[in-house]
Amino acid sequence: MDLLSKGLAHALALILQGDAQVMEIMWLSLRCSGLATLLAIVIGLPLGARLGLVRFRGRRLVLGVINAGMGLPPVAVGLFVSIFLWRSGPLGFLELMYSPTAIVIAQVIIALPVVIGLTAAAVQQLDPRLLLQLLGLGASRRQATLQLLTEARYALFAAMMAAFGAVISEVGASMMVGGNLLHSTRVLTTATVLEAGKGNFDIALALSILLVGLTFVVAMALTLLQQRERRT
Amino acid sequence: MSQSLLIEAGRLEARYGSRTVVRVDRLQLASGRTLALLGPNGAGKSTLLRLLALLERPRGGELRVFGEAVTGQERQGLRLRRRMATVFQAPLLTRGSVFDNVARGLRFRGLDRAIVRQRVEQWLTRFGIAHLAAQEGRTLSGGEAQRVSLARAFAVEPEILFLDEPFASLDQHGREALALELEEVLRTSRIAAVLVTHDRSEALMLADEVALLMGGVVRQSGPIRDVLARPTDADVARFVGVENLLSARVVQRQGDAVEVSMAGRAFPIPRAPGLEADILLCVRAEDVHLVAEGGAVEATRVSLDARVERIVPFGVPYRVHLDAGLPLVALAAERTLRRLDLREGSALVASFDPSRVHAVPRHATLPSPPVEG
Repeated sequence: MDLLSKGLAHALALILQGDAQVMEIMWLSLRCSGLATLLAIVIGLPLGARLGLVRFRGRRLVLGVINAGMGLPPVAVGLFVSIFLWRSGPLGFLELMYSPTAIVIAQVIIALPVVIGLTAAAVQQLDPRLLLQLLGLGASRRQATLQLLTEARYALFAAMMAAFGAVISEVGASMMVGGNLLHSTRVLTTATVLEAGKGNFDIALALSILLVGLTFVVAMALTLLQQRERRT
Repeated sequence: MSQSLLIEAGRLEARYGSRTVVRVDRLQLASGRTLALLGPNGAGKSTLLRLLALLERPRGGELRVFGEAVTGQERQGLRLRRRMATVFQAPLLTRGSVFDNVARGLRFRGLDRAIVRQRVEQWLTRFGIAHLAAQEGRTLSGGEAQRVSLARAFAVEPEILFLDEPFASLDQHGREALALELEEVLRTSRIAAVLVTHDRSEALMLADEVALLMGGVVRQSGPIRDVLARPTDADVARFVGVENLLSARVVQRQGDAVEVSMAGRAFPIPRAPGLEADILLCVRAEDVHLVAEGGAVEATRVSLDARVERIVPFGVPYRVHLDAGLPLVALAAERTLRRLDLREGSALVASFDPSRVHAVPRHATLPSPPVEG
């Protein structure tokens, strides 16, 4: 209990004092995970909509793979991305290893199945005749898909929250491809692991409380947006 | 009167997996006309509508829409679909206001905002729902929602309107009211339409022509009154409401008439094409007159001694099931029942006018059904 209260007090102090290092770590976490979520949405929404709407051979297999991908272990993704980005790897010439970009790439891979899978499920929950109705009113395939995504937007907000939650909380991939370098690739999760490893439990606790707080603020913002949409 | 053909279909086929569900040899829609696709549930009507509305790709055959051969190409499909509109059985409104819903098709076409507003207001007024413009579409009653759905389709000023059982989700009163309005709009706008229905009175009210579908094939087509009055086979006759199909034999052919024998009586009926020796006489229940036992019947009518088996209320008239040596059904008003003091077991004389009888072959050569398996 003492540890918890100390951690909480430390966290508050770090925030209120605007500790430069902590702010930098928090800002990097938000930037990397926010950008990864955004990219996953941009790539995943159309793919998920297509997977939900179009019948093709092997669709169930693809859906199964995507659904399994929702539980992709971040550490495995980290290792996989590392193999590609290592200097000797196929994409080594890009020199992205141990950079925030590498973290974003790994997190996009983690978030993508979540966005695709939940988008496909959201679109499949709509009345299947709605697509025909939209086409029957003269919509192009693209217009009809956009309209269907608009119709399923509450479920899509949930997909965004789930994707952000998955990437902001992962540690394995960020650690492997980022290397937890101070002022460069140290994010809240990797910093927490580091401080806990050094025995600085109060700092580790403070960082994890900040992480939970950040997740809560972003999720709450999305929830408010979702529920405001529902009222209008 | 020259009318251009908006739709021409030949050997059109739809298949689900290896099962052929629709195979239509020939079907046409001329400008300004309404074609009803009439048939029982599962006859393939809605599938055929989706093929014609370019919402589903046929698995075979030819389809020309607005004089253009349909290639299945996405861009062509969109261009042609934008000259049509479809209304389904369920209103299928999207989120947003009634105004937004009616504007949907116009916005898909990228029309100017002023035109969108003018068209939406025009059609909301036309269907009597202008006061609902700001209301959320999904809070409407079934009847209101279907009016929105119709206004949404008419707002895009389609050259062909597809209507897939548009009144099926409404109660009897709402159905009749909306059907009357739609009839007036179709008549005054001269928009060609394809109407899917299993209700022949709906088809009769709205359509000029009918294609009667059973088991995925068109069993009979033509002007709607001709098809209803002169079905070509027993199945069609039953579907268009002929309750009495009486077995008879052709005895002699003479000019425009055919002498037939039925239940020991011989009488002439109008000649119909394709009749072999064994026929079925189509006698509508409303054409069977009932008189008291021993009562006088005109000499030109075919009279049969009968006994009442069952009296069933059927809307305003009653349906009277008779045993006349052959099963016979008559419709009778309540005052007829009272006048004749009819009850189960009552003896009476049933008669019909043979000149109003239509005959169909007893063993019809039916169009082969779609291939299964």
